[in-house]
Amino acid sequence: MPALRVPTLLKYYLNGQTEVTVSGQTIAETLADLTRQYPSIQPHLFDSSGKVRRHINLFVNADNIRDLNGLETAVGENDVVKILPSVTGG
Amino acid sequence: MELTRDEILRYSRHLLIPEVGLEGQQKLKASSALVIGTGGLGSPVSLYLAAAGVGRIGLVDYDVVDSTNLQRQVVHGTSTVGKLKVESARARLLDLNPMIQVDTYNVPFTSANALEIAAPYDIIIDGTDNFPTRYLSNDVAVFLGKPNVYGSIFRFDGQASVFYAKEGPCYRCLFPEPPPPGMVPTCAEGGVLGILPGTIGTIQATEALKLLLGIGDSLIGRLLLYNALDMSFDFVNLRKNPKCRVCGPDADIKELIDYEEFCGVPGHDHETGSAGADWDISAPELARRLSEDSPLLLDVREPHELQISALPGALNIPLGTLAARLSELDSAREMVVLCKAGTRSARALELLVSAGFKRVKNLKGGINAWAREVDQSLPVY
Repeated sequence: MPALRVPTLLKYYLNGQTEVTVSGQTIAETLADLTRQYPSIQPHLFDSSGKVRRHINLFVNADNIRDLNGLETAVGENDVVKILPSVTGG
Repeated sequence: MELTRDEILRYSRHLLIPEVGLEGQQKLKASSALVIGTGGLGSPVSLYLAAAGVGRIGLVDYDVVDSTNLQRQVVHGTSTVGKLKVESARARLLDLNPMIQVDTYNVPFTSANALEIAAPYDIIIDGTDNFPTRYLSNDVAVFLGKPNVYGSIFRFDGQASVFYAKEGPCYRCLFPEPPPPGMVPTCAEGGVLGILPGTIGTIQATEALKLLLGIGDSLIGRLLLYNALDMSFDFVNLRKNPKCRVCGPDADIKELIDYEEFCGVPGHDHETGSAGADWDISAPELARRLSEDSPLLLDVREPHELQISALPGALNIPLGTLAARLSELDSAREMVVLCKAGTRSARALELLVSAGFKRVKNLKGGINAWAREVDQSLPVY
C-alpha cells in the first residue's frame, strides 16, 4: 500500500504519526482513505466545499500533483504521497 | 574589490578553497544581502554572512529583544534584552567582523517601503515569522528580479528553498494563497525547537553564499524538507506555476498589495491576543467577575501547557478539538475562553459564536495577562 507522509503540523491528527499507509490508486482515493481512517484531519486538508485547501501541496514522491494529473494522479503501491502545507515560523 | 592584508588573513580558510579563493572572497566583499527579520532564522543567517565577509548586510526588524527570544535567536544576548533587535544584532555582527557594513532598518517591512529598502541588495533572505511579510518578500524579490532565499520552521520541521522567478518558481508558485487565518500556527503559538532555526538558517546562509559566489547547485526548483525528530532530509521538485499571479505569463499582480488584508492576519508574530473590544474581558475584570458569580472558564490550550499554569476549575478543550466537542458545553451559561496569550481563545470564541453561543468572552492577553496582573505566583511563558 502507498505510504502517506505529513509534517509535524498535521501529525497530531494522525495519532502522532508522520507516516501512515493508505489504500487507493489515485491521490483522490488515498486522501479519501486517509480521512476515513483519521476524520479529524479532514478540515485541515479540505475547505467547506470539499476542495483541497490552497495552502496545501500534494506530492507523489518528489513531484507536485499540480505538475502531473492533479487529484487523479496515479499512485502506485510503492509510492509515497506527501502532504505539504505552508509554514510560517521564523 | 581588493582585499586588505587583514582581510586576507581573516578569510584564510576561504582563500584555501579553490571554489572560493581570492576571487570569490573579493566577490563576497563586493556583495550585499538583505536579511528580513532578525529572529530565529535571521540570527544564524546574519552571523554566518557577516563572518563569511559579505560586504554589506541589511537588517530589517522593528522588534525589541525579549527573553523568550534567547532560546533560539543567538545573535542577541541577555545583555541586549529590551534593546532594538537590529541594533543588538548590528553590534554582535560588527564584533564578529568589523570589516563589513551593517545597515539597520528599524521599521516594519511594508508595501510602502519594501522596494526602496531591498533595491540596493543583491539577494533577499526571508527570515520572517508571518505570512504577510513572506508574501511581501516574495513579491519584492520578483519585482526587483532578485533571488529570495527562503526558510520556514515549525516545532521540529523546516523548509528551505531559493525562489528566483528569473530562473525558477517563486513562493507564490508553490503557495498561491495563504492558509485561512489561524489554521497554521506561528512559533509564538505552537513553539519551535530552539536549534531548528539554526539548522534551516545556516542552510539559507549557505545558499546565499553560493548564489553570491556563483558556485554549486542551488535550491532553485527544489524544496528541502527537514525533520529534526526523524533526522530526515527530503527534497521535492518545484516548478514554475503557469497560473502564478506574480511571475506567470498572465500575471495580474504587477505591484505590491495590502498583504495583511491578503492574508487576513497581522504582519508580525506578536501575541496580541484580542477578540475585539466587544468580546474581550481583561484579567482584573475577570478576577472581579469570578468573585461575584461563576462563569465557565474554558481553557483551549494543549494539555501539556496546563502544567505550566492553570486556573482552578477551568475546563480544558484544546482548540483543535473544540469543533468536535461543542456538545459538552452549555450555550446558556456564560463562558470565558482563555489560552496562553489570547490568540487561540479569540479563534475559539469565533468558532463558538458561529455555532450559536452568545454569552462568551475572551480573556485578553490570556493566562499570561492573568499571571502579570492578577496572580503573580503564576509564571509567564
